[in-house]
Amino acid sequence: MKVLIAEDDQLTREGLVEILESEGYQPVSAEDGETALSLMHTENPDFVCLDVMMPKKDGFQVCKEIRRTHPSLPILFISAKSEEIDKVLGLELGADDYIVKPFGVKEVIARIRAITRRCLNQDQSTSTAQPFTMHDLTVLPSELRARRGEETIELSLRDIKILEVLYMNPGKAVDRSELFDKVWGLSHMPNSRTLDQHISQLRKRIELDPKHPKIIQTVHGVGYRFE
Amino acid sequence: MKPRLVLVYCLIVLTPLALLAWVGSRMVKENQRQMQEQMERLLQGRLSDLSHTVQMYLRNREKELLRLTRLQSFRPEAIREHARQYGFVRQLFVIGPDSRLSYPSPTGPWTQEEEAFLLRTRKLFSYRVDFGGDESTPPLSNDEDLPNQPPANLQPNLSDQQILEMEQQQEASSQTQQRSVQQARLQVRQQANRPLQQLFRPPRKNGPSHGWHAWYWERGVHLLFWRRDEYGRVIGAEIPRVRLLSDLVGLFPDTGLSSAEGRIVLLDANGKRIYQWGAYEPKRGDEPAAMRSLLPPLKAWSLEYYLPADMLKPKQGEWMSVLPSVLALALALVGLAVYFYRENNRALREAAQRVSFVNQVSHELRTPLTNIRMYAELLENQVDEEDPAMGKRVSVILTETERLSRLIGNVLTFSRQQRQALKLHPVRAVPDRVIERVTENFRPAFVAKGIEPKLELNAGGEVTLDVDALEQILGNLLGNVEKYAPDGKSVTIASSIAGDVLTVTVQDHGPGIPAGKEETVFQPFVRLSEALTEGVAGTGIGLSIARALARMHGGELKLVPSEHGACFEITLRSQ
Repeated sequence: MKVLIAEDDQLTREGLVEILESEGYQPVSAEDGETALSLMHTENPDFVCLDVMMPKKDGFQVCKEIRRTHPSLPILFISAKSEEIDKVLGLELGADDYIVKPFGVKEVIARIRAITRRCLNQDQSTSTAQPFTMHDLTVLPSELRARRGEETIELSLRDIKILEVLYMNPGKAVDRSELFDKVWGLSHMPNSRTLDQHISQLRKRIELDPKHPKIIQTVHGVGYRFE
Repeated sequence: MKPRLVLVYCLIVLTPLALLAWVGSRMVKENQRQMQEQMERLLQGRLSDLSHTVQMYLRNREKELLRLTRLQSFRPEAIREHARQYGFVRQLFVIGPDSRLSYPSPTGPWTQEEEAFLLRTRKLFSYRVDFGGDESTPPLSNDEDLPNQPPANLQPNLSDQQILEMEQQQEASSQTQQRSVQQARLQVRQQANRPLQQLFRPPRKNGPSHGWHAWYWERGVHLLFWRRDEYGRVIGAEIPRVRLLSDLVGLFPDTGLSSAEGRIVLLDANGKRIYQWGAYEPKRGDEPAAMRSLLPPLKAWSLEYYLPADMLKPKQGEWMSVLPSVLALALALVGLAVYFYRENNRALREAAQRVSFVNQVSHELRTPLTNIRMYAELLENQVDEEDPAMGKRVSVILTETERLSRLIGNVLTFSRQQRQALKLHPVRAVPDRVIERVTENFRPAFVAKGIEPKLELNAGGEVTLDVDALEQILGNLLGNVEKYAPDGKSVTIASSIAGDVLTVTVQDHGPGIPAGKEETVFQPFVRLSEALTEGVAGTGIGLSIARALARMHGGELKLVPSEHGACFEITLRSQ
């Protein structure tokens, strides 16, 4: 899932890119409004994160122009919580949601996951739309969630992809390169620590005992396996 | 500038100007009208004075004529002799009680003057003149009111002889007149034997005893004076026209008077100019500024007063006296409008600058804060659990970032509150999720100070509320717990919903609020005793803002009685 990030502050922009990548998205970034509109045509993203105060064209103008060609594209505004907030929520601009600075990683992730769910529900063509079960865990790809009994676990897109790859290869050790290819994409080559850290974080959320995982098992020297 | 504002400013300036111009023009016109009336009255007064002067002259003449017509003898010779004593009489006549003309005798013999008199008056007497009737003029004086001597202003300009000679020359010069005179003489002689009583009306018994009679002959009006005696006889005198004119001219100013008074013209019954004075020469077509007929018996004559046109027209100076006032007011109004416009713009600019400053500060402070927090959280995700020191450092960064964020939020909210620009943005949300999130944000700080948060949450349903407002209120309360009540070691946060009212309580176990300060703590910049606040940082506006937000939300923030520590109760009404 491709996400366009339009933010003039470099550190904020790069931070958001890192957060979205860790979530399993393909972020494309723009440092001003005109670049953002240009990337809209070339990259055709699935949703957009728009800063309000940007050079050349501000977020409101970009939003209006996007709405002309993409009336239902989810747009997430990044606001500094000033008087502009009224405009942000205005029906005229058609914003779907907003994040107020300073925001935390978790807040961003929560907002983005909410938008992703809407996108997934709208697009029924994805093969990961159907829920699947891994031991006592029911994975709901379209909701970016998993359930164990009454407990609900929030999952990222990448988490879903990892679980999907393992689920599609039950009992088989999926090597790292395959996981890189299928989860991170061929163009991205993170180091092994990135994968291990991600798996570690995922285990903390879905395993009853992360130190003795049942769903995602480590295959030393190879990769990981779902038994 | 907005069109509406332009219209308002135009109305402010133009309406009073238009009103003033209208009032000014009305005043000027009224002033002109009054001046014109005054001028007319003045002119009429002048003409009236002149008319009265003529009247006075005739009155005095009348008195003399009354005396003159008291004949001692009615013999023609005596009458002729009597008449010669008075130069202003051309001819005397007597009509007997039988209404017959007794002098000059109808049968003759006549003197030349008597014959000429009969010629002149043949038509007059042939129409049965009714002395004392409608055609006569009432007396100007009483019989008894006789002057002791002639008035000094009645000295003629010409001598009697000169006047007589003029008349004779005028009569003798016209060939046509001579022929008519001969014919008239013949007619008179033919009428000589006719009884004259049928030519005259019987005298009225109760009519006036004397008076004037004007009749037209040849060139204009002639005057007869008559008196009826106790025997019913009518004794009259003909006033020579030229003598009359000469006397009247003597009453009036000289012809060559300066143009200061314009020009006054005396006109006869035919509208012909008899006399005029004043150097101003009326132009062809000029209308007189004033007209007045003389009083009887010369009411057929009139006076006209001509003035130069520039004396009649309104002076430019009158308008000029109003124009400076209008211009001054216009300048004042324009200046006032410009002043108000600039002040308005300045106020708008300042307000915009204040808003812009707040926005700019908000943006400039929040953006680096965002980066600090975001990267600290990313770092936290990568901190090795085996390295607690690193974890703590990252935690400190996050805690202080959160505190700084609350501080900035309070300052900006306080600024908006001062500008009365605070607004609510209600959304559907679950209050307990908000409480959990805020409490979670304080976890590192609480852990560092050994404060254990306890949640007793019973507001799991969705309501419509301003999430940011609830976060800020709760953040300020928990921030105070961290600052003022760390020794209490715990804080309990409870929530409930009753109807459309959300209630959240924050109970700490610190020193509490001193008695009597329950309301003071909510005032901005007010600190409690130094003992309590010594060493504690803060802006002193947290509770003030929290209460303001709660009240905006239709609720309240108050201190409720507590056995130990301080217990704050937040109530928010669902929007």
